[in-house]
Amino acid sequence: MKERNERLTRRTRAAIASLFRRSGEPREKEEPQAVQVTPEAIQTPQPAPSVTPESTPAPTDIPDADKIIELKHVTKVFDGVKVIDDENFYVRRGEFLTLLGPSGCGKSTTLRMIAGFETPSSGDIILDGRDIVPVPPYKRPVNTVFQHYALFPNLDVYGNVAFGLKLKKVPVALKDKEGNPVLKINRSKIRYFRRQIARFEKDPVISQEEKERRIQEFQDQIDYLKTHPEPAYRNRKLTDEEIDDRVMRALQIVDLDEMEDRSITKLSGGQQQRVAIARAICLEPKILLLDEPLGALDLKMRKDMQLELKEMHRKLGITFIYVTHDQEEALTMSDRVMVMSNGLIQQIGTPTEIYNEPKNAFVADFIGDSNIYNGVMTGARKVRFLGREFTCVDDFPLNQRVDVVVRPEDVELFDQAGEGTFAGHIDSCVFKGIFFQYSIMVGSQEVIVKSTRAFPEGSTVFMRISPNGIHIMNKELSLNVFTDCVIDKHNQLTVGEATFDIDVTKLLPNSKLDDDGYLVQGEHRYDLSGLKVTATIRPEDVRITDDTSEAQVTGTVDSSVWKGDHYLLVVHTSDDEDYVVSTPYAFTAEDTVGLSIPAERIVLKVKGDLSAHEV
Amino acid sequence: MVTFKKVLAQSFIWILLALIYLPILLLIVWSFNSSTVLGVWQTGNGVNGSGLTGEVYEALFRSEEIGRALGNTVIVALSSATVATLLGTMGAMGAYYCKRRTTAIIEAVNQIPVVNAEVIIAMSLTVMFVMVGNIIFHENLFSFWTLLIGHVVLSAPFVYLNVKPKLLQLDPSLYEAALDLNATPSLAVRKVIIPQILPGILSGFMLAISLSLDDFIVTAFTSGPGLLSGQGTIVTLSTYVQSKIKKGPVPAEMRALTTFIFLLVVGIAVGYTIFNNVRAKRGSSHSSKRAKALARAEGRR
Repeated sequence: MKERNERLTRRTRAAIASLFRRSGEPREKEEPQAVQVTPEAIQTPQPAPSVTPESTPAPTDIPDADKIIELKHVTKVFDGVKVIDDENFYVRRGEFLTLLGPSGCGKSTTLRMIAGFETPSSGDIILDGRDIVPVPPYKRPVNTVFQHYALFPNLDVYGNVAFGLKLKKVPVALKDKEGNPVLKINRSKIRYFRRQIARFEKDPVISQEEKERRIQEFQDQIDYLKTHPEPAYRNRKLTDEEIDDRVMRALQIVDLDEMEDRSITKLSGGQQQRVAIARAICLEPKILLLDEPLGALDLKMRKDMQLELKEMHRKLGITFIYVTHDQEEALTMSDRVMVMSNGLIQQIGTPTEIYNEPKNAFVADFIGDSNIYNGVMTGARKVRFLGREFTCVDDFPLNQRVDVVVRPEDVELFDQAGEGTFAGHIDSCVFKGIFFQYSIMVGSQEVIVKSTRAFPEGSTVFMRISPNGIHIMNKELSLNVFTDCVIDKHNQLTVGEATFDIDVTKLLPNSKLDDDGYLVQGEHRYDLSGLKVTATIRPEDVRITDDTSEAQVTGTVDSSVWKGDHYLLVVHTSDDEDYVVSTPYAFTAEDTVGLSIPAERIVLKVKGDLSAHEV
Repeated sequence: MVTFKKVLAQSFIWILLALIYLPILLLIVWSFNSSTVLGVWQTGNGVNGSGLTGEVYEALFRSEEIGRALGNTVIVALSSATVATLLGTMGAMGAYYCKRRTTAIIEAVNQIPVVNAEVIIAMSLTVMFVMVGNIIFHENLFSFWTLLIGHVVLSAPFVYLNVKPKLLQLDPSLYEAALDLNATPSLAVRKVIIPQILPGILSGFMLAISLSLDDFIVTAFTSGPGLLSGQGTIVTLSTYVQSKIKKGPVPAEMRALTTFIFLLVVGIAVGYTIFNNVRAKRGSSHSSKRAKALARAEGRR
């Protein structure tokens, strides 16, 4: 088996090498042509960066030429709800970028907007210097590998791969008898600008002046094009030989060249996956979009395909944008990972940055296992959490409230007290194969620890966290994430000392409560009391008042930031929880305020193992 | 006990089969006898005077009346089935891509003609044609066209019902995949969606034909002069039979004709199955095609 794998990889490598060898020459000839030929290519006037100081790139920015695609202020509104809110990011040429997030975070919508299946309500998508928002999907130089492959069952393997090539049109310059280029008014470019104008007229986000300015710009372009003819082109289809050649090369890359005549329905899941990839890469897209492509495969197959995809990316040199909700997959495969939640980008960075230096509690909670605590800076590189002071490596202002992340593998366990250790009580211990996972209680707070050393359940252990193992983050301001909430015996949610009357049936699809207060889903009954959950609340869903008598939570205003049209407040409660609140009204620091949160606005996620609560 | 159950199940099948096919078998046998009274085997002619004779078939081919009715029926069935298939398929695809509310309305509207009594459809169409003819055109509208409309109204909802499940089985991202692979929306529908729902469209077409073939009420109400009947009202097989049995026994030629139709249907069904099996086995071979092309190129050189 191993031998066979090696043989296949060798074959794959040879095929990829031949792709480059064979396509090298014609491509070079084709390339400069392709750039000027694309009928809708536009030269957007670039503002000279040296003149206007505002447009000088930020230090982290890279030159525009290195960005293959850039999303600028992209917003998508579905039925009045903003599913993507002012999204800005770019992808480097040849990069492997993964969009990672829980379902409904907007990652798939982002991908679909790049593919052209959705149109942003506002904002631009710049692909190689040109805004592709008005370009329909069948004219975009990007191709998609779909989640369930979406192969055409009426065609065989060859037919599926050849589908796109048969419809592909190659522009050829029109020449008159003397060999001079024929000049014509470029109607398709004019149509492109007309669609841009139509799009901007409907834009619900940008200001009126901006709208008028952009529309005027497009109108000027149209007026210019109407009077200035450009070299004309005609479209030619690929010949049968060209198609056959490219299909076979693509099939060789995915190791399916001997299966060209097979019916799609007679292939295994992994083989179908390969056909879907071959179908996309044979069109030589500028960007390959992959929408959870490995989701339908079994674990073993998925691991193999991960490595193979990574190898393919390296050899082909195409930019990959990959969507997944599997954090391990994201960390394994990507050059950079973009973590999303609630339509907002939480963090973009390399896998190590994302893992070691999460920007906020959401990212820390989503990537890997982590302990997240509320902390206070008590001195230079000193932070207080778990009821004691720790030395850390991050520098934050004195007395600032922060989120502290400690990875379970960064906690050392000892059976005897030593320097810098603190005691805890082992609540539970689970053997996980190469390590033990402990839940250790320090007072009322829980520390999750992964260790290779064995300790009996119920015993007292001593822990040490080195300064490098403590990561300090600014308090999250875009979302309230409470990672240590518990459902009590009345099926209410406890956040710190506050309780909320929530609808627990939302935790499980198609579930209901029975007369005894148990949650019933099909055959299963769950006793939810003591269940650990993560609660997220959007700042705009929290109501803030001066009247503390009827509020669910009372606290003092810790900080207040003006965000253009609203204030973002951090309210600190007596039970050491922080709530981020969005409000149009001004409050001053140290004001005592009351907060109330509509229970139906609280989003819950089960944190622990639900099966442990089954009755 | 088990065997008893088996016997029950088996006997059910055999009784059903017997009830369906025995009468047809009888019909075929009787079509070789020239008796004009049903149930009385006429002897004295045919092979050795046993009554076995092809006279009925001879009469059938000589009868201009039946020929005309048959021709009319085929023309009306084919044309109305084609129009109904087009309308029903477009309707189903439209409803599939509509918002859920709109789809629900379309479904409900489509359901009514299916469960409605045919006589209501026929009556209402007649009233409408008379009214429109009197008020707008000031002439009698009844012709082939009103008959065609009648049959389309009758069968289009059934085509819709045949196509809709095929669309629901469709992977929703197939259409997007086609768009992604350079296909314009119309190409995507032609090259990907239509091939996928073709079985539904075909069975809808066949159903439309069979509905139109033996429809009597709508035909009787909406037909006017035209087609092979010339200036007279269009006569189809069903109206022909009806007009005959009003006056006397079923003409003997009808036995031969129905035998013919039955054999034709059996032929089509068997042929379709064989065609499908052969196609599945054959499969296309790109590698052999490529080898041939290569050989050709070599030869040229």
